[in-house]
Amino acid sequence: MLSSPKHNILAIITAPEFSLDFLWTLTFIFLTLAMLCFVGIFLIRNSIGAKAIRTKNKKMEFSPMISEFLFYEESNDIEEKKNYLHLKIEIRELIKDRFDRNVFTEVLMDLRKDLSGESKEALIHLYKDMGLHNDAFENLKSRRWQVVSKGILELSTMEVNESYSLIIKFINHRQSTIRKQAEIAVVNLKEEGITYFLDTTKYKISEWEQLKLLDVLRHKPNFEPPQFSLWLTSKNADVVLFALRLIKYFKQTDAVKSIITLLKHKRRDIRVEAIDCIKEFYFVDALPTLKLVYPKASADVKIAILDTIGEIGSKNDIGFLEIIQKREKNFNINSKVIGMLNKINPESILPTKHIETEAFFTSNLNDNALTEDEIKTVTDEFLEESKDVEADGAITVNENETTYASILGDQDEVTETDNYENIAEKQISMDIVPPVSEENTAFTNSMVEKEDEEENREPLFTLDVSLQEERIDTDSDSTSAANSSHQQEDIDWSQIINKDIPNLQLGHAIQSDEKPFISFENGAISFSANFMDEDELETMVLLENIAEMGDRRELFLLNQLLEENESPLILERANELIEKFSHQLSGPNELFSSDDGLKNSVFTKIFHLSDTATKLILLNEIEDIGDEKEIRLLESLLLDQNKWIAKRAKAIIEHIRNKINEKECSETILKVTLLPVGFELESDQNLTNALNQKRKI
Amino acid sequence: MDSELFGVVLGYINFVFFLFTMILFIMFIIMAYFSTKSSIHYRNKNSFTDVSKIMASPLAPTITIIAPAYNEALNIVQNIRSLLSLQYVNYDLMVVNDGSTDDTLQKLITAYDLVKTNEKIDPDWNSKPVRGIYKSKNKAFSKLTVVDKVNGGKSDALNTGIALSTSKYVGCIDVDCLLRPDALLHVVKSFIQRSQKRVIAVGGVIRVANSCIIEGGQLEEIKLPKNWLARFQLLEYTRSFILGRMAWSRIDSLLIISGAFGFFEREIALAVNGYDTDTVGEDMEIIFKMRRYMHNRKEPYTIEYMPDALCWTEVPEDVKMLINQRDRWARGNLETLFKHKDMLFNSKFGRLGLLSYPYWFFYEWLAPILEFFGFFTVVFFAYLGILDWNYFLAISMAIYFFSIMISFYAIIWELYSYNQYKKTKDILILMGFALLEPFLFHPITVYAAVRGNYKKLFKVKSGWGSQVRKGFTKAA
Repeated sequence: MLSSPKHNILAIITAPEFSLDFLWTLTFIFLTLAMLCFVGIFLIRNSIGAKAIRTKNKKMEFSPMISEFLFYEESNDIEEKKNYLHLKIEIRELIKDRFDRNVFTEVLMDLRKDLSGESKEALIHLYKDMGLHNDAFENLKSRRWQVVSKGILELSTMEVNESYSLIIKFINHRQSTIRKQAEIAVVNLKEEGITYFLDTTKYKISEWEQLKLLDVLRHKPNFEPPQFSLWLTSKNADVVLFALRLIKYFKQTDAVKSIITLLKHKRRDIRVEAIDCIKEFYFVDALPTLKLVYPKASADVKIAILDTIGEIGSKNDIGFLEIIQKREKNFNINSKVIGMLNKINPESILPTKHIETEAFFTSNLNDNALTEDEIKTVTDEFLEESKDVEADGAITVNENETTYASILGDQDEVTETDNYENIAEKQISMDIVPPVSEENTAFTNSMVEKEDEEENREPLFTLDVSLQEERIDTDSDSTSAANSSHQQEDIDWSQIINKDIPNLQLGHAIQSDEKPFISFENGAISFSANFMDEDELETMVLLENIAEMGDRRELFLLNQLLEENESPLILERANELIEKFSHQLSGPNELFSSDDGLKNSVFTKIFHLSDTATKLILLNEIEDIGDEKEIRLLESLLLDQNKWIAKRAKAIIEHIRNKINEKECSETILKVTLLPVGFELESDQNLTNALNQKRKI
Repeated sequence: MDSELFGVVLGYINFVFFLFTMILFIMFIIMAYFSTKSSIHYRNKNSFTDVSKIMASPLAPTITIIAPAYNEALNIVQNIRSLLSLQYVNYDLMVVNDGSTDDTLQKLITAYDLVKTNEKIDPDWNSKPVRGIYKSKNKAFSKLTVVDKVNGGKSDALNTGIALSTSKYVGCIDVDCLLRPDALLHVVKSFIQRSQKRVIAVGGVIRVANSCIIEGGQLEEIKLPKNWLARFQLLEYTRSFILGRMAWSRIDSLLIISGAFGFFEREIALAVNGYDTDTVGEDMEIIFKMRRYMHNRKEPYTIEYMPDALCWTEVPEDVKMLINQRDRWARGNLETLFKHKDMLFNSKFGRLGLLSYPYWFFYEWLAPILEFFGFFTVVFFAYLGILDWNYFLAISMAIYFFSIMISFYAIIWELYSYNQYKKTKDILILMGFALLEPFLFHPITVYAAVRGNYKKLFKVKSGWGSQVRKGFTKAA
């Protein structure tokens, strides 16, 4: 009876049994499910399609009705008022159906984004008038988070202020979407909403939420921000962070001590934000604390601190920066320190990498030192060239070449025995020379005085110092000293200008036809923009006008200007404007501003306020009753993103043109029939020709 | 006795295959459930979102898009132009020319008026030397930086970009990818929307752009690919991105973000030393590293996944190229799993160690190998006459109908969520390809995976391979 031990072992290690029927059952189940999915694909597809079509039709039905409401005025005549009332009753009937009501609300919500002013008020009035806000109130009672959120969004968008007291209950709701919608709504609905929110919120505020809240505040008309420094003491760290950001945005500078204290906050983002505020508001008092917190800060905070010290620091902070520069091993931080050192004290750190040693140049000079004769030859060549220019009759050597010696002054006079190394050194020491720019004419004048003193000095050789392209950094102290000395002195302008004004054009290429940009007439100095030719000037004026009044529609013209012009000034300005306008979004009212052709059509305004469905209805209207006034509007639609609209516009343009042609023809025929009998044959010929021409057109 | 023992062995083989298949069914059913929930939630939540709010906000964070380029001279200028026209204020584009041997750099210099700057990279940063950093003289292209460096591979180029960027977030994308204009708005929103957890990375769906019509760098018309191989890949991508990754992201266990469209918090990416240059599966490896890093820091974090169709790319239309691509994926998979082998069934890593990693190990890495050898075993057993045909047919049919069911389910969600392919004919074609996939396409991918594993295990030298792109169809 007993099986052998071997058999027992095999029985124990035999693989677990499983039923094949189970596998076949699974096969059958999966087959059925696959078939259900197959059917489901088409059911869902049809359902989505049918719903989309129904929604589209409803939107097309509602859009013109809503437009009527938006542009209704109390001053309309009785007939229009009657129509208005009928329309209202009709809409009330239509929105009894839940689906229709939802579509109607959806259309209103979409329109709300694009409207402002009276139209917005009319829209909100219509929403409330139809009792749709009651649905939203009902939604607030739902147990489903998406329904409640939808209700809050609707009430907030439609500015139903009565809902404020109901919505504030959700401000600390545990469901994040409801909570976030409630926060936005509370801030949006009432002025005091932001203070209530900051006072009561218990949850963390995400960056996204902060961004949206700031967006609401930014676009709130006549918003008077409270003193956000009050919330810097909040227990909720996110409130503190948000308050700092609001302080920075609304430029509230009343919280110096609190902000400095926040440099020691445990949270890094708060520290960074506080540093940003300090930099923004130039809180010099924060410098000791910034230095205090520096050692234990993370790399990015260190960089932010250094950036701020560079911005608000003075020469007193150089010692601190130098210590850091020696100790800091992080490449990015070290680069920052060097940058900041040079910012506070220009050129305190000089390039060290790939620089040859002094010995390299000295040995070179020893081997190939220039003899006195050679130096003389070079000088003579220079002078010879300058005289050539003089010979052309326009400019003299002294007027157009700044002498090296005259710039350097007594101490820096170059002697014939100076070698190249000395010259190089003297070139570096030229940092006393101010940058020649329009902003710095005062300093330039002081230099003119200096040159006046030196005018009798014989130059050894002259150098054309190009100061226009490369701005030489000057020591700020010497600059200010020069400026102040200049202010104190009483200058004889006529003498200076008569003698030396051409010298102001240092760095300009020597051009015989170039006119001076400063002139002296009737004892007064006048500055003229003669350095720009007329076309260039006109283009610049055009660009400035575009900057003031233009928008993204000017992008095409700007690109054209870029292609047509080579002037760096124009290119720079055009590029600036392209960048500026590229960020602008196209708005619905764009077309009203400049195009008179568009203003001619009564459809223009309503057209650009409508959604696609309404636009198509309006196009039908234009087809029926439109005339030549509508052509400009239609032409502007030929490039519409919506292909249907573009296609319809094209067809209607043809239709209107045909209509106009027919009208003109019939008028011509009428005129012809009124002509004397003797002209009949000739007139017929003329008419045929005219008709043929029209057809060709 | 020997035949009985052989019977026991066969019994075990049957049982292991049965168990493996049952777990696969269960896993996919759970994934379908999670992805459904996740899709519905995403849809509901986003009905309240207006991403355009980020566009001009003073609080909008900075982001750098890093696009490595190697011998891309043919399309680089147009591709860059498209990337420069994205809707976001605070972004810049860094193109890293990874030692191209063609005139990629010269074309960029000419087209964008570039000049060399004095900017320097941290000399301690471990990547191939940078030859120059270029910026445009033209203000219209002020967002563009071009980095020219010695060739070091895609990972090395991306690492250089990460080190040079100063933005809070970095996006690593393929230069030939087409991004929807509002892509960055969605990405940034995903990064900053959470208040409880730190979002360290964001990934998205890669859509198949073959045969689609492109106009001025924008997707003009979505069309079903004409090529049969691209159609299979479209179906596969739909299933993988809409069901698979959506489900893993629902339980916060996503282990991969596509290299073609991945965004990271720069600080964390730097903390883990960026991409690993020794693997071809760098996109998966960096996620492993970042997750591991955050786990060790015990800081609440997550990786976000966006199902929106934001990134479009061309897929291989040639079998050889497809095999090369999948071979590389398999090698990358093996390298990453091996490198992080201590995570397998390690409860210290929570769901990652107990669920995500084992799934990748058994069903992404091991499954193709089992299938490959299983096929030959079946043929061999059939030859020997010992194949249990009843069992073989039952399990094969169950797997076949299950795969069709899952593919159809993915198509339903594609329709419900995005409805990209509106023609009935297109949907029927996709379903037809779902019926054929197990016979025509799946064997190719299995072969490629086995080849990749073979190369890796037997140290056959192999790199990235190359893909010749046809270029997008231009609008008429």
